Order: sequence, then structure tokens, then C-alpha cells
Amino acid sequence: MTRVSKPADPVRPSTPDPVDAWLDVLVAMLAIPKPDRQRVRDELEDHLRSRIDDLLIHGLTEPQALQKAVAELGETADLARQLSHAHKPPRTRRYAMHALLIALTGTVVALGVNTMRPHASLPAASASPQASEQASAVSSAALVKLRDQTLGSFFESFKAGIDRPVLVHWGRMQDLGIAADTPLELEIDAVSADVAFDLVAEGTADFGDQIAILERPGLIEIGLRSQFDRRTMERRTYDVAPLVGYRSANPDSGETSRRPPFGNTATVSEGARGIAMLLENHASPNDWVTRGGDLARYSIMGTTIIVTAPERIHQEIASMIEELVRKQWEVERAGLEAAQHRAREIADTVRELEAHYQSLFEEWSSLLRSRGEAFLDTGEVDTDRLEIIEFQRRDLADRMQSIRLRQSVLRSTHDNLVREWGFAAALEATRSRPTQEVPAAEVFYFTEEVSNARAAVIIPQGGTVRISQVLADHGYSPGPDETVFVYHRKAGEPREKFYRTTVKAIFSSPDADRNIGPGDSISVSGVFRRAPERR
Amino acid sequence: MLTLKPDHSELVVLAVLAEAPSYGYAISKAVAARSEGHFRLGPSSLYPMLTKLEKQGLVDTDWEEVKADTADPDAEGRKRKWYRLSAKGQKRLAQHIEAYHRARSILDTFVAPAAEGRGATQ
Repeated sequence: MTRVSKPADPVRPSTPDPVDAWLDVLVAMLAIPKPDRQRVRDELEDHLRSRIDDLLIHGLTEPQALQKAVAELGETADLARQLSHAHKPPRTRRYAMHALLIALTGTVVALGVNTMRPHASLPAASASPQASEQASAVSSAALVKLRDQTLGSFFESFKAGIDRPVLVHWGRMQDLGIAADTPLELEIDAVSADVAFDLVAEGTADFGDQIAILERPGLIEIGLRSQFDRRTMERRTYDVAPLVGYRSANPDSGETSRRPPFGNTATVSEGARGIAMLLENHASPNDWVTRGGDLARYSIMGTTIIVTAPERIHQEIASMIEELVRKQWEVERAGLEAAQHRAREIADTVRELEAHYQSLFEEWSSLLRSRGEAFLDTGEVDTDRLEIIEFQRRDLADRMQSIRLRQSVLRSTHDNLVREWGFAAALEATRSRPTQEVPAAEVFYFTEEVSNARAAVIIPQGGTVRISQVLADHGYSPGPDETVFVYHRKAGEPREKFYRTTVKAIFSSPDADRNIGPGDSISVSGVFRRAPERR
Repeated sequence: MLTLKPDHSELVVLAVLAEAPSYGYAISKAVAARSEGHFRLGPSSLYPMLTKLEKQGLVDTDWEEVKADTADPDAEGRKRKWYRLSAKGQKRLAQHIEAYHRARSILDTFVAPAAEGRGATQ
């Protein structure tokens, strides 16, 4: 051990500092973005100054220490080149982003194709799941024979199989040249009414796709689609927030995950615009005003799409949005479950660490008790024994401290998961903070006799005291202007801060003379003298 | 004194960080102390490697302000960058350890017979 009888001067003089000068040169050579440069500089500065401090303690003069520390960093240009190379962004990240975009686009396109099976000839029997689950009067109707028929006779047999009155708007249809005696060129013996209607619509290309059925309570109407479209024209609003990243909702239970929106408001309404285009492309594309049609129109406000369109298009939109939300929720739920799983794992780890901490704490406490053995009846101190005990205790304290640090990191990860995914299952174990900390405020110090060891004085009382008061109570005087290190860990803080100051400053400067609170741990290391009046 | 190969230095640094979070200078000291001075991980290889580990998400970092002189209480302290192993880093360390054991067991099949004096003659 090196005995530090005359501590070195502070490493940083006010005149141009050689460390700063060297760092200036290095940073100028770095081919990396500016904020990164400052961080590289900060880290290397810490390295250099820590190294210089160490070398000074080992007895080198300041110029020697500086020279050795810088030499150890190697060729400046070489170091700059290696650091610049290490800071190049990895390419994979960009590829991953592209892959994600492609995957998202693929999903949306697939959904669009999937949900937008055209069902145009049967507007009322819509593609929405609810409607298809209900027994439609048309689809449940009796079988129809299609052979040597006219449109008129087809409608007659169609009427026969349905238990509701059927109104055929011949007048309207005649405007398009469709009449009761228009022949049907289809031959099939028996088919259900809805299929027959589809076949008629498809098989008579000139007029078929313009005929539509409108199912109403107590009445079934057959007429022109344009006629029904005008009658069922309506303005509705669709909230697409769940699809553009505001929140995702389980379509069955209404349960939501409060995931924050992607990006800013502009991105969100951009997302809504994207959804609107999806609707345009897949829900009766030719009817949108924006695509040259004359029926459907939309406007976008934030995450709301306002659509004016006939009922059949609204039904297509509703079913398409519902399907998209359902898919989105499935994806989100998988993420949510993974997040919950991870949070549970974290809670377990925090608990395990706590048990480990407690066992170290026991060990630490028993060392604290055994320390009394080093203080002999004669008033002398068995410095060797004390040195060993204090070394072990210091080691334990370091390990305990690193457990606390790890726990605090885990807790913040856990908090982020909970915040991000908004699940309510806050895990108790990670919430309950340990109450047992290193209990009493303490002061360790170097004495002249045990230069590098840490002898100890225990401050039994709680409350707040100042370092100078503790030192004075134990018979220490301000002493000369010698450098000491003050290591102060506040209760509940994972890491101690250290400050270099002087004995004189502790007694004279309010900044150096710090408050020690209950549960704090403090150590003062350096060489300072007992007051003559002690013992 | 041995200079570590890149693969080994990553293993060594991850192993040091697996025990407790640390910062650059302390890591280089820990490597030297643990290997009783046999391994040397100089700043010119340590810091670029730490940067890469950070970019790959193997370590998480945060900054601490370290004050070294209260003679001027208003003066800014210097900044210390702490590194701690991420979950991904732990996985990578486990892979390194497995690779090390595999390589060692393969080498053992050559070394053990040679050490018994059979390897050279057979």
C-alpha cells in the first residue's frame, strides 16, 4: 500500500490543461456526429483523469502521470480512426425498418383483399359477419329453377319461395331497357334464391349488375341499385384511431391497450388518410367521387373519417374496419402478453435479488458487530484486524450497492413496460421498496497510523449531522489544508458520489461540510490529524 | 503480457460487466487485476469495443457526474459513462461461454494425449 503523506495538487490547473489540449486534438480527428464527439470526449476525459489520479497515488509526479496516461492511449490518429469506425451506424437497423414497413403493407393489402369480396349484386345481404349470421330471407328462400325463363317469370318464381311480399320496380328498370319479357339465358334446375339472383346478375351482363335487392322488414324490393343507393344515402363517421396507433381495442370486450401514438399528430392524420385510401380502393371503388364516381365522398378530421355513401358501401366500410381492428388487436395482444410475461420475470428477478441483498446485509451487520473486537481495552486499535474487517465490509457494501443498482434498472424497465402497454397488473413485488438500508450514519477515515486502511467511528444516533460535527465529537481538528476524499451515499440512492475536498474545507465551507442523514453511508478517506486534546 | 484477441476481449468485458455495472477505466483495471496482469485491454481497443457493444444493444449505458474538487463548488464535474449488461448481452455472454467450452473440449482431445507423451509418436 502506498502511504499518502502529502496528497497531490488537483489535476486541473486553471492554465491551459494538457488533458483538454490532447482531447481537443483527438476530437478534431473523429469522423462522427457532433453529439457523439462530445460523449467520446467526456468518456476519455474520465479515463485519463482517473488514470492520472491513480498514477499520482502511486507516487508519479503530475507531468510523469500525464505523459504515461496519454501514452497508454496509443497513437492519437489510430485511436481516432478506431473510435470513428466503431460509431458507424449498423446497417441492419435500416434493413429491419424496411422489412417492418413491407410486412405492415403486406398485412394491410392481404386484409383488403380478404375482406373485400365483392358482393355487389346482393347489397342487403352484406359481407359483414352479423348480417351473414342472421338468416336472410333471400338466402333461406326455396330453390328456384332457371330454364327458358324471362326476367319476369324468374321474379315470379323467386316471389313464390319467399314468405314476404316482393315489390319489383318495373317502371324504373324499363328506363334501362329491362323488362319482364327480357329473356334469361341460363339453364339450371334447382338453386337457392340468393345464388339464382347472383347468377342472373352475372349472366346478364347488360343489365344484371344494375339490379339490386333491398331487404326491409316486411318487404323485399327489387329495383335498380342506383335507385336504392340514393334512398339509403347517409353520412357516417368512422373512428380509425385504433388503426393509426392511438390505442388498440379488443373488438369483443372493449379492453384497450393505451399504447402511445406513433409519432406526431401529422403522422396520425397521415395514417387516417391511408385508411381512407384503402376504403376507396376496396369498397366499391367506382362509386367514389375521388375516383370519378358520383356516390361516395369522404373527409378526414384527425383520426375520424366522415363518409357520405349509400348503405351498401357503409356496410362494406364497417366490415372492413372491423376486420382491420380485429387483426390489429391480435397483433397487439401478442405484444401485450409478451410484455406481461417479461414484467413477471423482472418481478421474480427483483425478488431474488432482494433475498440476496438481505443475506449480504446480515453478513455486513455481523461484521459491524465484530468490529468492536478491534478496539482494545488499552484504548489502542488493532489496526490489522480493523483493516481486514473494513476491507470485507467495503466489499460487501459494494456488492449490495450493485444489487440496488440492478434492482433500480429492473424497476425502471418494468415501469416502462407498464406505462407503454398500460396493463393494470402492477406487480406488488417490484413496487414494495425495501425499508432496510444500511442503518446508521458512519464516518470512516484514514489515521496517520493506518494510512490506507479505513478505521471507523460509528455514529449511533439517527437524525441529521454534519461531517465536521462528527469529526469534532471524536476529537479531530480542522488540520492543515490536506486533501481528502468524501464518499457519500444517500439512503435509497444506488450509487455514491465522491468529492475531493480538504480537511480545512470540511470545517469551514458549507459545501464541503455535508449533511449526513439517517441511513446515509459516508466515508472520508485521506490523512488528517487527531487534535492534541484527545485522550 | 498478452494482448487479447477481439473475440476474447468481448467475452472478458461482458464477463466483467455480468458481475456489476462498471465504467471504462474500471473495466480495464478489472481485466488487468483479474488476470494478474496477463491480459491487457488498452483504451484503443476497449473504447471502440464498448461503443460497438452499445450499438449492438449488448450493454445499456448511463452517465454520472463525478466531482473531483469542491474548491470550486460551481465547477462542473466530469462525466462518467457507466455500462451494464443488457438481457441481449447476457445471451451473447452465454454464447461466448458455450463456444469457449466447445473449443476447449476439442483442444483437450489433442492436448491430453500429447501431454501423456503419446501424441507425438502415434
